[in-house]
Amino acid sequence: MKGGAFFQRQLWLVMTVVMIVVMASIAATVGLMYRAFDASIAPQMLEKAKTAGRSLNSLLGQGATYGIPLEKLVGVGDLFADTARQHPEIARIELSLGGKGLHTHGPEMPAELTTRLPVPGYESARAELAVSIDPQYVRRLFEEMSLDLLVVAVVTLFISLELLYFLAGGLLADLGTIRTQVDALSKGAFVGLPRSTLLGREWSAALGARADALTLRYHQAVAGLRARLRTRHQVGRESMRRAIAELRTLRSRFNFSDARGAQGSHGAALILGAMRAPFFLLLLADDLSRSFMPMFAAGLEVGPLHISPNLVASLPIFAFMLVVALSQPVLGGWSERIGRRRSFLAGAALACVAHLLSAQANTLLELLIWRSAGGAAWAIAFVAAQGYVLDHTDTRTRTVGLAAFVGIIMVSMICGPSIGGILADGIGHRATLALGAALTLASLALAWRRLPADRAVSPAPSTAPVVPAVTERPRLALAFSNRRFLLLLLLAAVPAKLILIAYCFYLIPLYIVGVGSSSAMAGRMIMLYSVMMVLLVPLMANWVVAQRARHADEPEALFVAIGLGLSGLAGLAMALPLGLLSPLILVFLLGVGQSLSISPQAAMVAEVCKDEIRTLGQSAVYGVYRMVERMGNAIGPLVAAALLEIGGFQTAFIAIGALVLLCAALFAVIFLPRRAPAGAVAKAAA
Amino acid sequence: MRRTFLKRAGALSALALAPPAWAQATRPFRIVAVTWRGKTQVEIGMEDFFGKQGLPIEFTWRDAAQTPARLEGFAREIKELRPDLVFTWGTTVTLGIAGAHDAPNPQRYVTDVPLFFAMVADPVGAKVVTALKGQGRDVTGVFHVAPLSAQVETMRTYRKFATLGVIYNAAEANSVAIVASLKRLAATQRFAVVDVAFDRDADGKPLSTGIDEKIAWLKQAGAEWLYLGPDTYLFSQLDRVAAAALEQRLATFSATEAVLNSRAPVLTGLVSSYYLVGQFAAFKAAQILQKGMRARDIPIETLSRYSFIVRMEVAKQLDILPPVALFNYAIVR
Repeated sequence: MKGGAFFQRQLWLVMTVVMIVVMASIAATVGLMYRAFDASIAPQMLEKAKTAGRSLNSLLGQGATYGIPLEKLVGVGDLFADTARQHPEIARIELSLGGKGLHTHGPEMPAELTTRLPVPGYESARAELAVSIDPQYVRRLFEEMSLDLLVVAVVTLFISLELLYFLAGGLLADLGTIRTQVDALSKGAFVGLPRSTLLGREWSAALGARADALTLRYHQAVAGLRARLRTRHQVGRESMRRAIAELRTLRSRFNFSDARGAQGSHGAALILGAMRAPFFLLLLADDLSRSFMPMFAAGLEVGPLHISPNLVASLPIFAFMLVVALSQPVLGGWSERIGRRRSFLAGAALACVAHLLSAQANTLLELLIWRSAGGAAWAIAFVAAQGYVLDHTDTRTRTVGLAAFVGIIMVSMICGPSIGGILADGIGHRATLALGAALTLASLALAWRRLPADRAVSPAPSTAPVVPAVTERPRLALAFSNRRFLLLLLLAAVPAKLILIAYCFYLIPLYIVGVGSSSAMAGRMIMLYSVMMVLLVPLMANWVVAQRARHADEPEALFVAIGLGLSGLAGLAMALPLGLLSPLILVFLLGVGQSLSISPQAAMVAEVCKDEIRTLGQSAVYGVYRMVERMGNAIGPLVAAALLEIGGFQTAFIAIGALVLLCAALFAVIFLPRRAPAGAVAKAAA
Repeated sequence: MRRTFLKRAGALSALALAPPAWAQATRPFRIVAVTWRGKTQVEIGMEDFFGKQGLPIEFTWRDAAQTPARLEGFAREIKELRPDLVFTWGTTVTLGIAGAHDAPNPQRYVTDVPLFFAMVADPVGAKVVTALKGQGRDVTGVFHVAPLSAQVETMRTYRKFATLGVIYNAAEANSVAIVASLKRLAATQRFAVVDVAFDRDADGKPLSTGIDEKIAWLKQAGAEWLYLGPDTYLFSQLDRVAAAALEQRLATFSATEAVLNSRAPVLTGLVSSYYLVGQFAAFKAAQILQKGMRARDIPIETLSRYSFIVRMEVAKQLDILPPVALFNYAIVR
């Protein structure tokens, strides 16, 4: 399967080249536009400032018609401040009387950036209104534009990759079928397994080897039968019939040339390819609203009870995450019972309705209901898609399959919030939500057309799942019977999720918009986090494995402690007076911290719960782990809202950071092996 | 009899898609209109609406001339005339003709002819009806006072304040209810309310004594605004109250248009236009007459828009000028 590797390498090469060319042309275009614009825009901006000045003058002038002396007019300073807020291109407004300044707003500006207008009705008193434009405004405008273009470029890259997978999925599967038939011809009676797959070269190789082994075994069986027939010629019909029956069984078990069997197996690649696009669209629809959901909720009607706007903003995320956390374990069995296809279609349909009705929600209650429905839909689709991977992979291919699955989630996390932020600034919150509904509709249509019916044969070819299956209902008592497991959950798993959701989904969107920036900027921040996760998680995971191999001890606890400590430190970055740079540092540290701790933490569960896994099985233990972890997702925004209400943004960021730091320190004290160097504890605790 | 006939007529005409034609073919509708102090802009708005709709109305006008004793005679007359609809202006007239909902008296009050009112500030508080919707009797109409929170917000845009003064007649249930509502609002919006009631005699009738001292006391208690609610006795003492407030340099805010149209030096207010109230009331009447709806099925409502009126002469006398930005949306007189 060297061809596949070659194909992959070529693909990445082409993508990199395309990316570089796109980036360079964006940079060039923006640069050229900036130079051209800068020269021509100043007069236009001055004209705009003049218009704003005229509308101010019409108000001031009314004072004259009522016979009020200019210096006695009330609220002029507030009026100027309001006007400057509404017109970001205005830097200074000044009202002067006989050459003396009466009211001013903003810093001194050079004369060529200032337009001067006499105030009607007060001409005799030589009253003059001076409005100055802000030379930084154009620069800021272009910065915003370049960032948006960069975001679009990154998103385009990832979406075209997704598209490529989608198209290639069908193509490769077809190629695989052709190859299968060629093989069949060469092998006479047997039709071999398809060798092309989306999931990776190894799997194909394995399947190929397996087919070869089967061929061998069939021939051996036939040869053995012949030998038996030869030696026991005299044996009666009874044994003959038995032999034929045995042969039949063997044939039915190993012959892949009949139509149903062929579809079922070479379909594996096709199925995972077919699941990819609908699942991605469904996730994308939801991620679109990440960067503005708190803002959207805060603007809705609450009802007769007085709930603080901060809490209102946190409730939709809470509802969504809570439903996801609680429903996922229950859904596993259900999804298996009614079938992956039907459950995915149900999830997509529910998501479509939920998005559409969220878009037109007028009250908080409506939004909460539809966001909860959206959470249920998300969980249903998630479980169904995960089920597809588990059903159509075996022990050897499962890791690759699940990596593809996680990849889809991460790509959506990169594309959704960033594009959603730009869209929200452009077409508004409701239209962006409605667009999400359209995406889920597309997902539904694609799933309807492409997702195959569930196999009638027994589901997974393997018996012992490597990764927690979602079929078992978690037994929460489990968490309380094992003290170390409970501590792992409460000191690491929950705080890690709590800080992530509190920061990325709640505080950052509100803070960024609160300091006067846009939803697009909030989206970019979330995107930065996701990009870091995509880049760092595999790197970190490999590093941990390498460390483990080199030192032959268990470095997981150290990584978890350091990762958690970094996540906590991230919050303290908000204490730095660096403007928008502070949240940037925060997101960066959070990304590093989370990517460090995620996989070691999951690995620790297996170690801490050795006994439970032996008795209850891996899926039961991981079920509890995931569920408790997801409760951290749900309470994150609530904790953040409460802290925000009490002490404002800085307090909320820093308090959550400090809390997580404390958890990290406690975790380090409890879990770090005694033989670990003392410095590591101190380092983690810092 | 006639009501069912009208209903059928309405249904028929709806089918024929020519609503007024049927009505015009028959005799005009008869309305007995009882006013409190002669015709106001309300009645003019009402007549204009009917005229524009081509709805022929034969009015019988009766004026109480601010004398409640006259209302009993009008009620008797209405029972004899048996008009299609009764119109009443203000709380006193409406209660004098239709009676309170919790004291039914078919002998004294008109209970078998549908009634629509205007200018009842608080129809539920005054016990005209039990609720604004599903009122349970054939009475509907339009009230004219903006929500208290909107009024307080309007005062704030004119001039920020920490303490609000109120003068009212403790004998009027409506006024007592408004003071209580103001205090509730003050608790959530972080301002204080200081209130004084007019003096009363042994029978509980309000007296005009000590008004100047009461206003001076409010000023001393820190009041920055004087709120003038829809209080009947307050209207009768408006000149004195407003003059005293001017004397104390206390900004005055009114909930009703009539106060701002009077000679008394009242500064500003958030009010319904009487003319528009009349038109809206007439619209409700047309629903009864033309469409055959029952008055009890038509909700009692208020206008969705109010006028923010500022009297510049008073502002200058008080030396409390409105902020410039307010020129954008206030009506400056």
